[in-house]
Amino acid sequence: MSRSDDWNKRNSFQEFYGWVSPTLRGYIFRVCGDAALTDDIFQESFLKYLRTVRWDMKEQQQKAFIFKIASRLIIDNFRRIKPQSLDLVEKSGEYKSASLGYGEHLEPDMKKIFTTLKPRDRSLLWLAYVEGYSHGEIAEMMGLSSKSIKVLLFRLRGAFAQMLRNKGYSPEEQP
Amino acid sequence: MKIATCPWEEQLRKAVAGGGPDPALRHHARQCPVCRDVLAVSGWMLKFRDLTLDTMRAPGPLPAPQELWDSAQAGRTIDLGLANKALKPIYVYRKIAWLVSAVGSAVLVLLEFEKIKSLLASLPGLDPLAAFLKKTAENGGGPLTQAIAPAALGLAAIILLIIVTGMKRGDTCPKHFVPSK
Repeated sequence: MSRSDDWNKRNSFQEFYGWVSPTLRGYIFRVCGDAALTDDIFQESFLKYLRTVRWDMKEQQQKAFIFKIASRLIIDNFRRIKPQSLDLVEKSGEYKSASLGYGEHLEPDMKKIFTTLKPRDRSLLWLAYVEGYSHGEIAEMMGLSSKSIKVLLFRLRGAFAQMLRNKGYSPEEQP
Repeated sequence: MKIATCPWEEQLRKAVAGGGPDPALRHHARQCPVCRDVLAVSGWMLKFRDLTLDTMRAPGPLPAPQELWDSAQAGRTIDLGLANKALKPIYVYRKIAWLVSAVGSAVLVLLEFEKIKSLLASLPGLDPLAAFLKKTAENGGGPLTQAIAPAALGLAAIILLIIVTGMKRGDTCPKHFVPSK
């Protein structure tokens, strides 16, 4: 590898990191529910990504690739240990919200709803509705079939929307 | 269980995540019950994402990309502990192979003792050994004694061979691996 090639890859990684890292960290945190574990998985994801990435991939593909790595690491972690409740994060005093207004109520309510879901379902919701990945892409990331993802998302969407509506949220209320 | 689907669902999710659907897609979402739910859940989830990112901004900055880059580069060199662990079965089996060879040779020497004795007797310069064996036999040493003496000599030779080759291998087999570029 030539020096200029190395330099280009390094710069390209810095740009990619600036673009992807906040949302990746948010995703890991919401699925894991633990700040320390989030940081571990976040760093491990990037290290694995850097060791295996094909630099000729498009940025969107690279983003999907690192989300796949993170998802697999989260799954592996949950297979090893029991998942911790999101409430633990609140008790530890870390990542306290400073938001007010609509989000002041929405965030704790969403957190509560997320706590009741399985980690896999949290991942599915985030990947589908925050990142906008297709069923096929999510299937590839989670190691499931596209058909299963379609069914799981259908059930989740209905249940999730119902839970939020029961708490008094309506789609029209969204800013 | 019947699953309500819409062909526009994936496109709608992607559009909302990417900044917002175009007016035509938004119009469709108002008519379609599936897409209405998709739009609602996407909106809540995106708001939740924004709140999460705001919340996480406070505790500390993200690790520097340079730091991760350097760590990844460092990780490309071979971990000596892991490499030695991976090679351990080979070392163990090599030792077992030497041991089996040594025991096998000793058994062979014992089984073929008569042939070895006659061979040694026919070799020039080994007369003192032949005389020693003969004397041992005449002095009341049974066939067992006659067998043990050359077997012990053979075993000593094999052990010496193992030690010498082991020392030589120790010189050529480095304890630390140098990763190839």
